[in-house]
Amino acid sequence: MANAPAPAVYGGDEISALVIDPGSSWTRAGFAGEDTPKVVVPTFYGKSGDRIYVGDNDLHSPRPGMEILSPMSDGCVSDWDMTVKIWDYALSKRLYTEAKEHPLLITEPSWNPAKDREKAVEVAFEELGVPAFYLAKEAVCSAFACGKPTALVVDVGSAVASVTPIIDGLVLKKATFHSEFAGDYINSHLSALFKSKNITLTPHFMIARKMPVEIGQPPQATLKTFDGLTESFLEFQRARILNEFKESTSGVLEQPYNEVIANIRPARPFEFPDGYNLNFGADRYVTTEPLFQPQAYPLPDSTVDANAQGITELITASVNACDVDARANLVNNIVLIGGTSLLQGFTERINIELNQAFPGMKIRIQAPGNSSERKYAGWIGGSILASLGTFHQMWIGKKEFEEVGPTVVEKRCK
Amino acid sequence: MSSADIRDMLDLPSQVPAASRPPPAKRIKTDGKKLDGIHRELHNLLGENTPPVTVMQSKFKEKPNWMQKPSPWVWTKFKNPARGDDLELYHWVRGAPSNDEYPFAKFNKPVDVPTFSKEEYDKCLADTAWTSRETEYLFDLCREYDLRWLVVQDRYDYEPEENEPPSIRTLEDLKERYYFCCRKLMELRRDASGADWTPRDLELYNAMNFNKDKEIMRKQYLERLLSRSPAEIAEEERLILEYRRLQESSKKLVQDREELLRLLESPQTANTFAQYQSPQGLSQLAGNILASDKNRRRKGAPEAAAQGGQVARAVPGTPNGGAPPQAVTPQQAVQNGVHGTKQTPQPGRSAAAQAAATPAVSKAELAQSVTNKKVAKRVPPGQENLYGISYHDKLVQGVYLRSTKISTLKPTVQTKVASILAELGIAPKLAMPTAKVCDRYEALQQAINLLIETKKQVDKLDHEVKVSTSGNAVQESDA
Ligand SMILES: Nc1ncnc2c1ncn2[C@@H]1O[C@H](COP(=O)(O)OP(=O)(O)O)[C@@H](O)[C@H]1O
Ligand SMILES: [Mg+2]
Repeated sequence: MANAPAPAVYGGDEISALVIDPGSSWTRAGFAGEDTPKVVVPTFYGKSGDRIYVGDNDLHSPRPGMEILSPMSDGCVSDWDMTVKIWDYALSKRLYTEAKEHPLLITEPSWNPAKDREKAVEVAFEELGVPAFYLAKEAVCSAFACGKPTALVVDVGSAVASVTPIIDGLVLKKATFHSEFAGDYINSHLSALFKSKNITLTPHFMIARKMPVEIGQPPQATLKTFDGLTESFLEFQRARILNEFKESTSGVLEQPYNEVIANIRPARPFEFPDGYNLNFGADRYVTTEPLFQPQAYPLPDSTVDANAQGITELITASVNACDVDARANLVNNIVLIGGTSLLQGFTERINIELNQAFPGMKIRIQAPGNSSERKYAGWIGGSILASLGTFHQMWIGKKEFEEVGPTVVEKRCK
Repeated sequence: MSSADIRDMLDLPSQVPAASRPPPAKRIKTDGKKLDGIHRELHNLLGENTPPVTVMQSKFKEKPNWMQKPSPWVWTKFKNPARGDDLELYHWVRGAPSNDEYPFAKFNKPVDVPTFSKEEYDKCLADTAWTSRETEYLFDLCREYDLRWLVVQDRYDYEPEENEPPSIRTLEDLKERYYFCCRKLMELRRDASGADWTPRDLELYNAMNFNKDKEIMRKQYLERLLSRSPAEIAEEERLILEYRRLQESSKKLVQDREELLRLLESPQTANTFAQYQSPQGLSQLAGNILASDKNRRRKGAPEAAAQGGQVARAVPGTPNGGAPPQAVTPQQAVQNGVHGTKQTPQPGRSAAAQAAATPAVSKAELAQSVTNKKVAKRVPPGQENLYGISYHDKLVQGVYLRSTKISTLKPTVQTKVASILAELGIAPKLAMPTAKVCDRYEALQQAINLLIETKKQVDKLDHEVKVSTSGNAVQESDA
């Protein structure tokens, strides 16, 4: 047993790398080679004067004057200082490890601008002090997580919905499209709906005691009072209720929204944190329709850009932007991921609409059945990538970075 | 507690002197070796004989061998020769670290993209649509993306210099330029070196012959194929199904025809039929057949031979009425001949069908006259009815209803016949089944059956004619 064992068929070679997948709502971190991220923290930070708060516990504690802000915009990192704080918290406080000792792989959206990519390399080497670094495309990682080197990755997350064609593990940038019609957009519609129904959203932390009430009856809850809470903090807390509603009650019709059909579906009850509860029928469906028809279902008192595209139109546009030789292969390898794709009926709707859009091609949608595989697909793919023996020639070394500078990322991470 | 103890307690004398007690039963000796999967007691019962098979019980996890020395895993530095720099990463290695090359380095295989010098470019690669700088850019991209054309085109973002026109390149433009340059470079280098190409070079050279127009056309076709509407796809599927059906039925037709031809050819395979075309030849053939028929009957079924009348009646009426194969074959040949001759425009074959058919008819007539001769001995012909006499080939024992003797057809045919009878206003059950009525009834049934068959054939032929004329029409309109 003197020699190293022959590499196994799957070609793994662990070098104890770290993987971080910064999403618009959650940042996922863990060791490469594992099948789920060990740490999932909100991609938000609290700011109160000079103090910065990160991590679940601090973010959800009601503090006077604490604003809750996001360091991301359009799926890309926009505030690097805060992002580093979140990453550092995830690695040192939650994973109990030091970035200095491990190569680091970070995922990025396919439309990440060059300056942000260079910034990422700088941050990794200069602030986190990693020995080696790689910036992987989130969509490519998601395709790898589903075992596909060639795929059309449809990712409907919180802030962005994106469609990315991938050929042999390389993104076709000119055919990549993304829009804002994703999870958070549904949240805006939901809060508009509740407002129109005169339902006040009282966040969990305010409830001291509550009594069970009959359906539709006014809530009987004793509330705690807090002074000086900021609107952004309350908004952040209300979003948790909206997310709960989406996950338990919302759904998507198999066909374009139609009130008659939506009303036939059984209504579902939802209980708000203060005990108020109501049956939701057609409202379960009408609030998710903007994902597919953004123009027909704008937010109250606002209009949607005439060029805005729903998710099916994004997919169609992306496929048609690819060379005709690649199309059949792409639609036969659609990978559907992202938390919002977990909406009940979402996959069926996409499947039906795509079959209408491409009657001459065989559509096959692969959507991981396991909900954590959908939400963490980007991270899981990064974990696979960073533990492959053949991948280790791709890392950007510290010395290389010092010699070439941050532009090395353009050459290496394609 | 043994009996000795009880005796002792009760002060009874011990029954047997201790010395004479039998010695304790000796334990049956077992072989020294331990047996797997079988209890020792059970094994002992087997005595001297070793069992031919041992029952293996599935054991739980194997006991770990604690005594083995553990092999250590070491956190070791390694260098990857596939890298340009000497970055050192760490991984766990079992046992002592070795100095072998990193096992995954061998998978690093770049694609061979040629390079060219300024002179080479000026000599043979110059092109008005391309500058040397842009060509260089294209080659670099091809190298970078290992000739993955879809990606090369996606990342193609050439920034022309001030005096250059902006470049908009399709995938075909890029491929054409690249393969053109590669071929030119190969030619140039062959001429420069003076050595001939190896077969591999030649193959490569031919493979790089890129036809841009053909490629564009192919893509247009593909695009049209992929953008068919659901209605078009449905229509296409329907046509394919129809085509399959036609293929199937034409296969069946060919099979039928072959069967028919085989039957037609079976009587005379060696001789030609030219000799039977004259009237004398025909009558000779009839005689031959009759003779062979008689011979066979005498040999094969003696009692059948004695009753020639039955055969005679069977032949003209029911084709399958138990007649010997010799008689059936030409009969069917006549029936099938209708479409057999029509479909095969071979004069020889149709002549054969007629040649075979004619003797059958004459043979039937002959047989009829034989019967008549026998009858004539007793009653003047045509007067049997007058006298109420009838002759039977074979009388069934006991009493029976004549109506039960009316032959039945196949159930499917029978229902059709019944419906036609109903149309004609004839009751399905005979009210007065006299011999004559029964005979006529049966004849009527046969006639209807024949008509149905004929109608079926006509429909089939009609359909075929329609299909082939519509096929012709399509071909004509296409042309
Ligand atoms: N079961 C569910 N049904 C509907 N929406 C869900 C479900 N689970 C998560 N989501 C939504 O998915 C979004 C998060 O998805 P994710 O892929 O993690 O986004 P990101 O990568 O942008 O952080 C949130 O808006 C969340 O509300
Ligand atoms: Mg995501």
